[in-house]
Amino acid sequence: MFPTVLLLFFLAAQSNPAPAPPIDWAKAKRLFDANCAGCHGPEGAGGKGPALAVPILPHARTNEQLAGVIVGGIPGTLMPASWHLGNEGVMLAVAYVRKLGAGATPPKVEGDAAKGQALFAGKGGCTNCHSIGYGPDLSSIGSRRTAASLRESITDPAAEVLEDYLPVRIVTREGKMVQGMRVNEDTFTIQIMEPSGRFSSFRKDSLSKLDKRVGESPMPSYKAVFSENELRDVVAYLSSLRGEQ
Amino acid sequence: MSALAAAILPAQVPYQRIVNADKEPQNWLTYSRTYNGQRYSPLAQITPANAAGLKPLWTYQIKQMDHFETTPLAVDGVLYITEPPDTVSALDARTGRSLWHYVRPVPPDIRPCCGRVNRGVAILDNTVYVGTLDAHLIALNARNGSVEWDTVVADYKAGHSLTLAPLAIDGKVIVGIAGGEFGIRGFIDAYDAKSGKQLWRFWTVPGQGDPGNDTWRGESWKTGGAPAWVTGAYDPDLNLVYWGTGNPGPDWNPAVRGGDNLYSCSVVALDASTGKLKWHFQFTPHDSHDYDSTNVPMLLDGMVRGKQRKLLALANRNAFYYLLDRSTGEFVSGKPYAHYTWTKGLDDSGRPQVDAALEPSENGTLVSPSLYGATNWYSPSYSPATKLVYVSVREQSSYFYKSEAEYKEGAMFVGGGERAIAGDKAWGAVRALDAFTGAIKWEFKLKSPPWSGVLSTAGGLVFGGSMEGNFYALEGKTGKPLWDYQTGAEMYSNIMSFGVDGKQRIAVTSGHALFVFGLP
Repeated sequence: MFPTVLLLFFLAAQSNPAPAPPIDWAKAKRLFDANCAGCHGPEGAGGKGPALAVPILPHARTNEQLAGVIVGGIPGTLMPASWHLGNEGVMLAVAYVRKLGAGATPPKVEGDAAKGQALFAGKGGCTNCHSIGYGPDLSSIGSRRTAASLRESITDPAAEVLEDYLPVRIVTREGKMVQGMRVNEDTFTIQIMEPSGRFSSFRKDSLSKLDKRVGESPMPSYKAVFSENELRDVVAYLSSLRGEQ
Repeated sequence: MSALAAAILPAQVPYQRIVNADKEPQNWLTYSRTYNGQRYSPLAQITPANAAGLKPLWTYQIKQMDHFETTPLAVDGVLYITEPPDTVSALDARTGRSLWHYVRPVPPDIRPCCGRVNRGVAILDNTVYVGTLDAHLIALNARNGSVEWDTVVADYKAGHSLTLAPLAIDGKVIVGIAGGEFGIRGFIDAYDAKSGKQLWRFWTVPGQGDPGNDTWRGESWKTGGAPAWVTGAYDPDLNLVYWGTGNPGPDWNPAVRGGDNLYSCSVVALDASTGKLKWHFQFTPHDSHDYDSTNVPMLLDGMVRGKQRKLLALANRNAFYYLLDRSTGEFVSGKPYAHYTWTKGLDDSGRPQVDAALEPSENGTLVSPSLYGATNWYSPSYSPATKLVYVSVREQSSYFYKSEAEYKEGAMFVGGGERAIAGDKAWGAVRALDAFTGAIKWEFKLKSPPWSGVLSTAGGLVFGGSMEGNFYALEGKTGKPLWDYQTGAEMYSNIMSFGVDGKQRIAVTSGHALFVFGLP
């Protein structure tokens, strides 16, 4: 049937104080490679997803929290719910992630974060979108993305666009055109944020065109804007944004 | 004195009233309104011409955060509903003000697989019947909610629960058990309406020595699942009860239960007097994708290929719309109504030609439809006026995973799971099918896969709900949207219609509230 409630059982099982069985590390690696390595990297060095070979995972400080993240995912991010792993699978994944994190040192990021912050607000003009809510909230982006993946997003923004960020272009029956980011949508209506930060709402039957620009990013590439050193500095700044820890 | 009172107060809802439900279109006396499972309202005041004027008239809010999936019964100005987890309420149909509540404490260690839900009550004579999450069947006095009897149907600690609305027929109350994710052995039971005594049990997994037991490898039948968690239909003339059955256990690791696994993912026709199997039809033999066939069967009569037939129609979670002869169980036709990849198609006997490469795997196998199916527990509707079957359809794919499954009483026994393709790549629709050919006549697209059923009316409308809170009316003939209202929450709902003060009303749950709409 419909197992969203499974989460509760998994979590209950995790906090059960029964003695832990010995870990089958070969099985745990197979499971990690099949389910986790695609985003987090085979050694947990990160990729689309954050590095796991780090001493502290901000969303998962305890094993119970980590099991919860694995089972339920993290809404609004690429991290999917993986309840299909079952109790044993979740326990193996938790053990494997902790093993990757044991003894790890925080990854060194090249570049000067202070200079990067100045470039972010100044030359890059990044705050024009990212401080008003038009672009994604970056206040904890450093805890979710590796330096390499942040760099890719700056030089090739369309390489990976989260589904929650969908640029749309609409034309009303009166001929008015509006471009912006989809904020919400149902079967009959759509709500859009324009680049100015203004919200607008339309009934779909009042539109002559609703163009969803799947895979596009409204963010320009900064490849030709920042020098190599400036790029490192901006990445260093973004990597330092770790939200409330 | 009490004898006198009993003599003055006639039975409120004798069996014959339910059989003849079409004579009182303002009432809704059983889960699907009529025993034939059609979920069609003969009320015709609200039409395509005036639907745009529909307004919410009252709202009743519950005090729990669980999904609110009840179908209200409407009896002479009173609505009987269930509220999660195990509350029954009687409401004034005019205002939504409550008349009585029956509140049953829920044991803290219940194990419903999929939420603390309940889908409604049954009524017969002066008694309201409710199944509970701890697998009791309880009879309540319809006038004040006091308990008349309380029967233990099964042990909840082993994973059994009751979430469906019981089906009350002549002197009997019929229920099917839930718990297919816990390695239960499924069954359908009948209880004496007056005393609560068990009259018969039909095991949906045959026991040792019984026909069909050899469709299970070794001892796997003992934990074979095949629950029966959605209310069935009844044909009083044939005296047959029709009931859909759910997945075999463990869900996604079929290796341990080699064989067809009867009577999982089937519809069974049972003699209502004895519970004996008259016929069965298995839609998805040896299922490995959790394609329960717990969809409401619709009983309808009509011409197929030049022959007048008594039919059973079922829009299955496995993406096919089936017609069976309901006297014999003969396969008449099966046609896809949604995207599917799990089978290459159906052969001439209706058996799927399953591609073994699409079984769940350790690394995930992409299959359509998703584990939630092309449709689910929520009801379809058949309109005798348009001769169309309306289905609320989910268009979604999933990666299916297989893992080991070890049975432990009361623990999950599933052997894998899924990771669904979500976001804008998943969507939904209401589709209208020619009831007798299965041809898709129109579709109305929904933003995302729905969890709300549909209702068709003699006024020529189809009502549905969306996961974004849209409650809407479509023109039954064309699917054209006529009216919509934002209810403000995800809709896990079944829709019904009733009349009060001579006026048609439409009732639907959304989020944690029951909304009633009408023309002012």
